[in-house]
Amino acid sequence: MLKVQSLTFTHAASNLPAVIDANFELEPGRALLVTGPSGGGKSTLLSLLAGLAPGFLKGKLTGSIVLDGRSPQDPGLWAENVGLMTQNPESQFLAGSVLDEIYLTLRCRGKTGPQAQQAAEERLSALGISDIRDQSVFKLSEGQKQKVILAALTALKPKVLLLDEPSANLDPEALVSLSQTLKMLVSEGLSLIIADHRLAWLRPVCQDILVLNNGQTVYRGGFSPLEDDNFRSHLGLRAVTLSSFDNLPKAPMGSGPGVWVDNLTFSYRGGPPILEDLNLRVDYDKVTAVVGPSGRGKTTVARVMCGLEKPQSGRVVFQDAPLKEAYGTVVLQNTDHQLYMPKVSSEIDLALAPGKKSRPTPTPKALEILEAYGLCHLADRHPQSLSGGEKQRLAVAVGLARPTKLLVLDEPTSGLDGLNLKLMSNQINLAAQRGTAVMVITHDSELVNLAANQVFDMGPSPS
Amino acid sequence: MPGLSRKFRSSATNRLNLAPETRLLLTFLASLFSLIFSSGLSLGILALVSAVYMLLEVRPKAVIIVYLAFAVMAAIALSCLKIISLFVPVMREQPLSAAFLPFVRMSISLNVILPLALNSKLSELANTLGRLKFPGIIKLPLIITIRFIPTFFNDLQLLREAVAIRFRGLSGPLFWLRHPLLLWRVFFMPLVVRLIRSADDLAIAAELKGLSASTDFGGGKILLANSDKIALCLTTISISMAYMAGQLSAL
Amino acid sequence: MNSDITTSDGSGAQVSGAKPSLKNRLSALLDGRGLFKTHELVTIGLFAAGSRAASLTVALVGGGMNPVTMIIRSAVHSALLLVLLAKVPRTGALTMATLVGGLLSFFLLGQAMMTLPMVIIVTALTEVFIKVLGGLERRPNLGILAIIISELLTRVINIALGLVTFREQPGLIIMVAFISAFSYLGIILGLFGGKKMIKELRHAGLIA
Repeated sequence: MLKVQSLTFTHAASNLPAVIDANFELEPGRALLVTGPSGGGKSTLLSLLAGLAPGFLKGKLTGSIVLDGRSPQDPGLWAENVGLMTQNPESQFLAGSVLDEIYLTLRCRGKTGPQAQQAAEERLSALGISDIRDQSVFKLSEGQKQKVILAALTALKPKVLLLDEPSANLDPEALVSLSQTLKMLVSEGLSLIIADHRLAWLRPVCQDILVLNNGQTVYRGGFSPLEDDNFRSHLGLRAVTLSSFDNLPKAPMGSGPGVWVDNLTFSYRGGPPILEDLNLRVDYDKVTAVVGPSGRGKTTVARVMCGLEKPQSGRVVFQDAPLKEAYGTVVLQNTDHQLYMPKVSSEIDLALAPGKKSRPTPTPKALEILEAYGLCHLADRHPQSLSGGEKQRLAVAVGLARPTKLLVLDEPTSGLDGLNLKLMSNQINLAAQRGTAVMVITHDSELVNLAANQVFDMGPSPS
Repeated sequence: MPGLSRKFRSSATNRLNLAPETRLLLTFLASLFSLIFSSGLSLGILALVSAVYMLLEVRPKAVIIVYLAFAVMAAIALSCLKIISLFVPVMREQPLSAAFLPFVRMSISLNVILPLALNSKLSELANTLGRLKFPGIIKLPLIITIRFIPTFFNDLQLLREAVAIRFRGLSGPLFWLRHPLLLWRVFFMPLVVRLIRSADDLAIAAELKGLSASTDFGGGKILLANSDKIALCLTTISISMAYMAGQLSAL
Repeated sequence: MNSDITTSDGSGAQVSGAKPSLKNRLSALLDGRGLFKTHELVTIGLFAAGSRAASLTVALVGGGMNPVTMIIRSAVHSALLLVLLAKVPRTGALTMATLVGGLLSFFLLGQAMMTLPMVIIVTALTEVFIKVLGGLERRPNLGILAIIISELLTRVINIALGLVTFREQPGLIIMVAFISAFSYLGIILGLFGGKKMIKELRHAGLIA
């Protein structure tokens, strides 16, 4: 059994504790969901449970973590009993192919070559991914990457698995598959601790809930209080049921006031066609949600519309836009590549006036934009020191700082809590009201219902 | 590793089917003896043999591009030398052959480096390191590097696209010439940030996997195929012939 | 951590009895035990690879052998080395980075084959000198001096190799000297950039 007692941690660079007096127990074969507003301490708690503090996570740690009489001393040895899957599973790969990844994990634990090979094959088979055993880990879908990491972690037969935001980049199909895999692991006697914002998919998996707000435990118990809208709204939590968006109108096709794609066909060099004779219109003044399973070409169509790829046939038309304004802005999923400046405010100022010498104090316009996105108090912070959700909001604010005919947002809410989801939806709607054609690529049905005026479904998975 | 070992000899790019160790040894020997030999005849033989090796291993188009660049560089160097010799009279007295020998030496290195550079796969490096019994302290960072290089080039691509989108309508050579420091900031700074984040992520992944400098990565034994043995024999014969030719020309 | 129950997983186990043999001590040294931690080796490897890959990219974009490209390549290299030394302020980090970067070039590009052993030796000697002055652990600012000295000595070795390669035509060594001078200028400029960058990375919380 895992016992956590009076666990408190303060980051070295902060005066305020990130986790305050956490207490809970977890029995074998049970799953605990850790949720709460962004910056509430969920990821920090998981890092502490993985034994990463104080070695990697610098700061002051008090309290105790005990698993069957053992405490984390060396993270490497502790990982044999407590496995961690981080938010970005790709960052955990150390080998090039799927089989090599699991094989390497086992070799590191002293297994001989044949033993490691056999155990790796067994885990691949148990998780139903034997068919991708020789594939490059970099070419897998997000769902497949997670399963490879789960196979590698469970090959060591740990007692507890920690999963940080596993739903962040998954489509509904992959979420169902992950949910089934996790249920199977729990039935095998493994304990799970899952930190996530999206609650609906975890309902069949998790029996226990822990809600953290500003590092403090504000709720510990069963799932039922989360059914109460007021309770969730008060804590800024997401919905507990998957909402349908069938009632939203379908996005139109053909010419009209907006940015439209006309019989677009595209394939990456040497590959099969990703898009075939695609027709779609993203209207000015409207928010168009583009939905569909991973690998269906949602991001590709956005890349073509923004000029990052050239189609084999077909065209993209910016209706009624002068040539020099006929381009789109896209906010990509990974925000690290899109933030350059030493201060949050100067990031907005750069977007407002590119090439102008940066000013020591932010312009009033920059502060106004930051205020709208709830980032004003972070104006002097370095953009790279922000949390994932804060960076996402800043990247969208930057994208909308300059007027643009087309704005594409690729999975803009993957790390956002309920409150910030609403804030982001409002800003997207405001941008559309100013005449921008807004296209939102998302798997998040909550966002579609909150922000979209029309939906374009890319269709079923090509496989 | 099992998956990697299957890619050990990739026939698509390695037409002579040589092991990475053989290619490394050929490169080392050719570079070393090109420095040792002084005779034009010896260097000529090495240049000829290494050129045959290169042409068997590398696509002709790549050879032409690289040799054109090499010719331009040699022409610039010789032109500079001509200008210098106008002011330094002693340099005018050099024989014509002396002017070309350094370039023959460089071309030998080029001939053996090209097959190595164009045919080496990152995935092969892990096995080669395992077989060559490198100490763990060197092997560990090199193995992690193999994992990291594709991520680095992916980051570069994403960065290029992000800049193209952000500065659309403004970017172009003139804009960046006017703002060179902005170029440093938008390209280099995020790259360093990504580098640090990748280092932290992979360091945590390595620690949690229990990976350490004493981990046995396997790699198997060095097994030389017939093609490797023939290549090494031919190299020995070529070097011996070049040596004897040098001795004869000195008489 | 305050914990009533301590680990029983053997992480702190000590082997009692006779002193380890010289062979065991040498083996432990080569395996990195006591010299570098795993995460430090990973960071060194990544920065060495990043520096080589960035240099290669600059060369490909900039068209190779022109002064501007040479200066930028070297500036990128030295800035990254300085950031690495700020992240891993340990004696031996610079030598390890040079060794890993050199081996990478050696294995994948066939470069630096002739000069690598000498470059490693002069970098190691530079680090000994820096250790005498107090060491990077106590005086991290000495990283700048370490790079200035080791890169200068590396260029001396390159010129010496040039003398052997161009022995029939010594005038060509002027070209090597020019290339070395331009790239060294880049190294110095990169150190200025690197110092500024470290300050900013500390502000971002990416470097302690």
